[in-house]
Amino acid sequence: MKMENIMALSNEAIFDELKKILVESFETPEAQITLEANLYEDLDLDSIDAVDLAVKLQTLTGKRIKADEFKAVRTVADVVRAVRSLLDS
Amino acid sequence: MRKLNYVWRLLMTGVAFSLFSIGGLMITLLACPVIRLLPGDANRRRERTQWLIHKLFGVFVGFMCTVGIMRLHLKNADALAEARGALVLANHPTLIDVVVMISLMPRSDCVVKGALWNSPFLGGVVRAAGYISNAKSSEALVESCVGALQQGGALVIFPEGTRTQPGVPLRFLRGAAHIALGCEQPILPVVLSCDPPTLSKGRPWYDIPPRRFEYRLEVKSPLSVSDLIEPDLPGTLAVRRLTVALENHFALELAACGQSAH
Repeated sequence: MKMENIMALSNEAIFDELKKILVESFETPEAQITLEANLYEDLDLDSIDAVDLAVKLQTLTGKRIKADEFKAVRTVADVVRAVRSLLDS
Repeated sequence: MRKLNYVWRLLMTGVAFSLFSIGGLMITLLACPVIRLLPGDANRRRERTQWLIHKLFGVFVGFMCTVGIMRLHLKNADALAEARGALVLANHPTLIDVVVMISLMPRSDCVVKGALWNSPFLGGVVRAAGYISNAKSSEALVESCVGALQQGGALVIFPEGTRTQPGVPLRFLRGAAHIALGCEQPILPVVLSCDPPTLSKGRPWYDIPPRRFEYRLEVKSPLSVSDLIEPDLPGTLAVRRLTVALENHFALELAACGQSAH
């Protein structure tokens, strides 16, 4: 139970960090950033942005992101999950 | 008389369309092998193919003007002919925009659709001209475009990515800004207009205008990235600011040219 709480909290922290990156670097309107939002369709990122985002997440986590894994990412929730699994690995 | 003129223009528009495909096939079948046999390296071949396309597009535009489908009004078009190592950006009202522009440019590079790249009629030509296929990742596409510019090419890009939707505010994709930021080459804006509108997106070729169309091309003064956005922005922001700045620049130019036309 306690473990789950910590997990939940840090997922939220990841979401907050991601939100900060999106607002600061990609000028995404904050209100549009929800877990369900699609990076490409809803948040107007393009594939070059995705590379930049991956680099920023690498800096954040200090771990390498595999390009192939990141290509499968579509929604904000997918990014949070990808970062989560990076941190857990 | 008006009716007769309509039928004539319809017929000639059909002829023009057929000429285009047949011409493409002829270059693929005849001219490309000849160019391959001529002495010179790959670069030379590319230049010759680009020059040939330029000349043939000139004939094609000349044909459309002579038969009375269109009338061409040029302003500062020499700047286009002399463009080297420049990113040529234009709005995209009609199907023939690239044809008119290349008819004025002895050297030109452009990005072509993957479908065209593999077309039996025009595929051979666009490949021999060293045009850039868009059927690759965005990063690779931007890299190819920057490469072409650094080699002194004049790269034609329609920043909207598709033909302009009449009556809808101008919307640029970020590709052009990515390319402009990837190199230090000047941007050459070209403003196009077609009145009455024809050959726009979603219109079949036989839906011709009630009268001969007036096609206007004006080359504006070159711009540099530093004219348009503040310096030292991080990449992701620079590309967004530049896209918006270019969009606004073109929207103003178009509004000005619309006013002077009426």
